[in-house]
Amino acid sequence: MNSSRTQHLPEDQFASYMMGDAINAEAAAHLSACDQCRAEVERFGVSVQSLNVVSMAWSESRPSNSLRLRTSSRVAWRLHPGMTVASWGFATGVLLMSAIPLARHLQHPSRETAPVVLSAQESQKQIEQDNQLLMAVDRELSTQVASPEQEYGLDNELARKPKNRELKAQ
Amino acid sequence: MQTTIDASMIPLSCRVSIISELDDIDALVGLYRGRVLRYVMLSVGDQDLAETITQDCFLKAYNGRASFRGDCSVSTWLFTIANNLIRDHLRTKKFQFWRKAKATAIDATEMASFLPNGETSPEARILASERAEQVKVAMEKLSVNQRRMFILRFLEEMDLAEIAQATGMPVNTVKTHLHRAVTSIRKELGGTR
Ligand SMILES: [Zn+2]
Repeated sequence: MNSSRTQHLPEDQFASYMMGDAINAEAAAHLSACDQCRAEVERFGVSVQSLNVVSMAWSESRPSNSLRLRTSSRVAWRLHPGMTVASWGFATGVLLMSAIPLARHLQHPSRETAPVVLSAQESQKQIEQDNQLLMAVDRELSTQVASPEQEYGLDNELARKPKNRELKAQ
Repeated sequence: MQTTIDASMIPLSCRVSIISELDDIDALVGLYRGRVLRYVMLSVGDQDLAETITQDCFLKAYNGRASFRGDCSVSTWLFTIANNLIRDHLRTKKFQFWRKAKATAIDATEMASFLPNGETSPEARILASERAEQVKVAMEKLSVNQRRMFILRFLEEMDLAEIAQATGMPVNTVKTHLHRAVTSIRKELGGTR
């Protein structure tokens, strides 16, 4: 036990202050009078800001490929699966006629355009393999504490639903 | 109460009309990729996985843009999708995820090497990378929830309500995780005691 700990900003007050929440009068008075605590607050802020700047420099430097091609090819497929480049001019009238249903299609995304998790190609075999993997991993992790899956509530989801349904392709 | 990922990657509260910002996927990527990638990277700790999840995030956002209602910011919406993708990845690949995450983690010194040369002196770069590494190491000791909420609050500067929306957790739970995260990082940084 270190008795000086309680004389400086208590944990909850420090956390509240750093989070931008209000702190109590006693903590505020201490903070305004204690150089050590002010220095700690400043150091915490500067350190976090350093990670902010450095991590952003890294992520901004990562090259990214254009995704436009990937999305435009999907849209073209939806317009007409069999349409070739040469048929575009001829199809203008067809496109005009289909404009309204297409607009409706875009406004109300189907299961395909909705951000569905599992691809339709996922085979039953893959699902069964995944289920086996999940069960094996569940067994393995059952003795560990606070796995990321538990924290994301996935264990609850898995417990609520039969695993086959959980993993069924949409 | 957790939202289920299969129901929708997009919260109901985020649905309405398309806004023009979402109509050009490359523009969307240009605006938000850095932040989303950084968030996923610091959350999952694996570069390759972070790139994959980030790309999926933008494809899902673009394909589901008709569902975006504009009652939360685009970035909050993107973080929501990213969170769901991370969860999805944990669900389907959790064993590999568990093991691999730490293996290809990037350290702050490497990150700092990407700071623009003209704007940063070598001394400032070293200092920034040391401080950043301390926080990053401290963050690695946090739970997944504490870590992602810490990133959203302190790096993304989102408020508690936005974090609650992006993570699908109640505001009070967010607050609790954040308090623990700050306390833990304070200790790791070597505070007043
Ligand atoms: Zn003090």
